[in-house]
Amino acid sequence: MFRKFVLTLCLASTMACLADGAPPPPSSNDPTDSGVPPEPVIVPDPASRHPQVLAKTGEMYSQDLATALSLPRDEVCKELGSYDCARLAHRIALGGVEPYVLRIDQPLNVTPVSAPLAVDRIALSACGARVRADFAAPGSAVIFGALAQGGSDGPNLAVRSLYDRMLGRDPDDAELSAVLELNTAPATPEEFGVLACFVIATSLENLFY
Amino acid sequence: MKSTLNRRKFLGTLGAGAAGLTFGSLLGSGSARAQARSKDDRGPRFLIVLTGSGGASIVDGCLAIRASESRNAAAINTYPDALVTQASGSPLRAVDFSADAVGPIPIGFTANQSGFVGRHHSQMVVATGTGTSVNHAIGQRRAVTGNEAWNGRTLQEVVASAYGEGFPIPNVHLATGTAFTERGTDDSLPAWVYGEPVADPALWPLALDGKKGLNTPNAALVERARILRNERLDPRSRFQQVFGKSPRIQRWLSQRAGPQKAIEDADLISKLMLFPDSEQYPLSRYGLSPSPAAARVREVFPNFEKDPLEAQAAMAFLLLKFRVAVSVTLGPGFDLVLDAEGGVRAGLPDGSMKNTPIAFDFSHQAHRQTQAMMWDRLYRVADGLITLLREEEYGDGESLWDRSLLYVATEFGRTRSRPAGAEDFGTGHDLNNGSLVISPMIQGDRVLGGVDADTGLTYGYDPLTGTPDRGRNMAEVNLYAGILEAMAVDTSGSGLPSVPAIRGNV
Repeated sequence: MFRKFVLTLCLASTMACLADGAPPPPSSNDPTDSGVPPEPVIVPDPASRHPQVLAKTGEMYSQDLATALSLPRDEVCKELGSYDCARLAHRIALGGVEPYVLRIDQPLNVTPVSAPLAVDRIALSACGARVRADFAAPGSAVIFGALAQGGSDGPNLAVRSLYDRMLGRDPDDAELSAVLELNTAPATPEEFGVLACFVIATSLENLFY
Repeated sequence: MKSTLNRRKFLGTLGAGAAGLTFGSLLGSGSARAQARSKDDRGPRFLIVLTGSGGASIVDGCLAIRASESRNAAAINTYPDALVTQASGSPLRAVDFSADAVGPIPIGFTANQSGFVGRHHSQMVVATGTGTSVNHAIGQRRAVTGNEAWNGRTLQEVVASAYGEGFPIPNVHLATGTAFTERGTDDSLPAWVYGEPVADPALWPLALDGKKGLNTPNAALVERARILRNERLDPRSRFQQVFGKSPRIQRWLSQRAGPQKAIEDADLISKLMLFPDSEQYPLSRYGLSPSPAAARVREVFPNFEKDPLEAQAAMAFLLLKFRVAVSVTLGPGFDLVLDAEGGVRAGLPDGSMKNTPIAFDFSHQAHRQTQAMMWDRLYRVADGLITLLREEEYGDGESLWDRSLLYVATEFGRTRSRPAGAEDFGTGHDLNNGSLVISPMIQGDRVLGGVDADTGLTYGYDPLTGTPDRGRNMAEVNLYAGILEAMAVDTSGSGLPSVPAIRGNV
């Protein structure tokens, strides 16, 4: 196991050098060395043997979405226009408690089947709110300004901004191109904005910590 | 057991549910059909657990004691003879009772048990029992696990496991905050048998569709985005590669795969939408509509907006009708429910208290009134459910009720003593009690065991024949095993005793 670890470390270090744009080490006099840098080696991240993750509660998730999308917390999601999704409508399903009326003073220890659906609703609602606001006033838009103004780099900028705001990182090339696939007919630019936001907001990386 | 949802099976059951819409209400009692059912019929049975939280005392209901029958009439909880009625030829009794107040609460009420018992006695059995705890939470748990008789599986989980595969949400808990709906301790069961909590029957259906009722891109586009997320973005993300084997993530992924789409395709957000379009719930404004069955359900449970128990019962019926669940658990909460038109300041007319504080446990303050009022409450809800289930065809002339069993679960009985001749008195918790089971799948009009009129305590029975046995007390496991046997659940390997007496000769 230790040997495997060292190997991984070495490979990772090599990748890091390449990624930083450092020149390859001077070639030796080895006649088999063509002088062409080798293809980078992709090393998959090792799976944790004891993965310990928690799902965000509905309230944590809504607060994170509000921050990422620069929305007032109360505008993230309200069922039927009145019932806050995380605080009321889907509170228990999303790991909340309600000791006073329902007498539920411990979060559920098994995620109910309705939880992923409830999360989808919260994300679609919040993403929709951000897109509508940005398209209504592109000049003061937070995320989708370029998209709303029809700029050719609008989709790309929107996806990069969403990754940064929600996951705190850049998308890699494959992620970027995958999300941009949503920007095809019949989706309108507004719909693309919502869908791009939705897939990132409901990714496992944004739901668990 | 594999925890996957068989989509074809699932849609098939929903189709059967939809077909039931056309079934009339003329079936009447279906016990003959239920009894004629082939013994190798493996079709689903449906369990309704109606919780008598706080200690539903059987000697204030089906086993009420007439004062003339007891040598200690004034010292124990007996009723004036005139208040205790009995259906012809049935051992099951009823107490019709009115009062001007419930202990210190100055709200009168009229409770009627005889109507319910008169209508359903042929499908009612009382099984006496003596529990093992007078602690509420422990008593509640043991009432549904038979005191951990089968690796800690709850009755609801066992029934969900036996009959719920292919149902979208086999085990639904509409009652919250009691140990009647705690998860069992057998981790070997598939995750889908554990209870799905419903905090609010009005809003819960909204969580059964990820996109309807929102101002979002059309459904096909959202579905395309989900596929991209599920099949490409998440699987290749560094996060999933590192943490993807977490049980929490695995469960999330399994729910997001099959069940999510199946539930949405079944349009449960519409079928289970109990509440009508209104200012409070502006469904049409969000492109939603009430359940096609909701109008009839609201007729039977007209107080569904104000009384949480009626809302639970209405949802329980919809869950069974549309073949969403095979086990539903409902029951009164521990909060005072007042339905006073114009508010409390306008006065508290008779009948305006729908639920006593702490449910049956308000017997500590006012035993007789609390028991009368709360039994009446349970009977009304049971009556409504039975009425609705009888109107729904399961198939081949059988109604849904023909395949259902309603178990009134309670944690314990109440002490029997009272100040000499007192009509208004308080009681404590007592291990000794009995439980009510109602179903066309059992031989009704029976009391398993009996009650000693001089002590007010119940005694047991032979679990095989049902013959009363004064020297015997029945433990929780007997009821647990007997209910499962009545529901034709395969319990082989469980180590449970055989208790055919609950089912009887059907």
